[in-house]
Amino acid sequence: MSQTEFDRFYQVVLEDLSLQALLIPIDNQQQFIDALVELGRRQGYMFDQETVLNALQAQRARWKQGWRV
Amino acid sequence: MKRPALHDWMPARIFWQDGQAMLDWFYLGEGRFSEPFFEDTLRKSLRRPFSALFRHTTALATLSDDIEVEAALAPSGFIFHMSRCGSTLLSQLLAALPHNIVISEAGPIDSILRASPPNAQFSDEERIAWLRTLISSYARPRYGEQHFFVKFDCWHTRALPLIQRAFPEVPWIFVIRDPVQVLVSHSRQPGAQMVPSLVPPAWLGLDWSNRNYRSTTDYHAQVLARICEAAYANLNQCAQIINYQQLPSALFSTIADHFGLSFSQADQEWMQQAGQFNAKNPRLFFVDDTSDKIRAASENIRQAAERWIQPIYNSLETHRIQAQGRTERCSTK
Repeated sequence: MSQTEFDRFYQVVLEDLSLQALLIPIDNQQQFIDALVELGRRQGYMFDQETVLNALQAQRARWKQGWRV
Repeated sequence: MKRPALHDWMPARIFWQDGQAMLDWFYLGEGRFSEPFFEDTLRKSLRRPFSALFRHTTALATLSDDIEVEAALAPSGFIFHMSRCGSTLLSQLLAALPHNIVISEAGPIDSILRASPPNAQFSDEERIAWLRTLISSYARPRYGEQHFFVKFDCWHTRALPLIQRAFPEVPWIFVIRDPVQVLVSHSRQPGAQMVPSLVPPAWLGLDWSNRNYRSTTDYHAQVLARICEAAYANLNQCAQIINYQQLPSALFSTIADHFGLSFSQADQEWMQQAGQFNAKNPRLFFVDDTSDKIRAASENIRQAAERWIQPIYNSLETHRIQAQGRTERCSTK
């Protein structure tokens, strides 16, 4: 459930510049995760810190994948 | 339909899904491509948690619908090079000016030029269309930039016919350096083009199966020769050859003229300031290593350079010297 809610909110953030403006300046990872969870909760998307952390780690691994072509 | 949400995002990677080219976008925000290489800028951006977590993914085929390609700057110049020859210094000097956008060896451009994923075949026309659109996506002026440059990977001279078809009006330069010095650099730290699993020999016009490379240096020399030969074979009125020995001053004369640029006194001073630093590692001061490289050259390196690269280097040098003082422009301009 938490993952589905997170995935939905992820798409919302991608299209919402005002939500992005709140998240972009946060350099500290834990503060970023906390802020994302809180923003999601306020908009009715319930997911936890661990879900965000797992997603962050998965995305970092994906960015590192492969070389060019 | 245009997507305003992509305004501050840049294509980072191309990947293949069911035979279709897809783009991953990274958030660049107010950042600039000011690092020596595209990957450096990407890495720097990804340090920010937001950039690491969030990515847009779109189909390459719909790119021209997703962004305002019409607003993109036309490229002012392309930089090709034989590698380890001062081309990064050039791109860094250009990138030092905030009104320039400089894309240096971007992975997505390489993907379009070289990719041949399984179960998918692309025509040159498709690659040309994608290349134009992708390059336009980087050329969007977001903060009043006026000029846009692309520094290609060294092996992209092999794709010059396709690039010239895509951008027939863009002036380009090919930067060269004494072959022994370039080979010494690769003997210390080989570039990607020297690693067959990264840049296949066949793409360079070499046949790995023959195993006729007497040594690693021998292979390196043949790779460099193929890169130079491809540039020479495609020289046209839009081309200008630049020798490492002419740098950095040629930027303010020959190259500026060729690219149609004019630098103010303040621009020149700012760029000269940037030129004091090592282009690939701006935390270090630039030190001319020519004499060090000449001293470090082994007999093996000298022989390989002489046998494989020197003939084409001589041809390029002859062309460069003969072209000095000529004011040819791309004819379609």
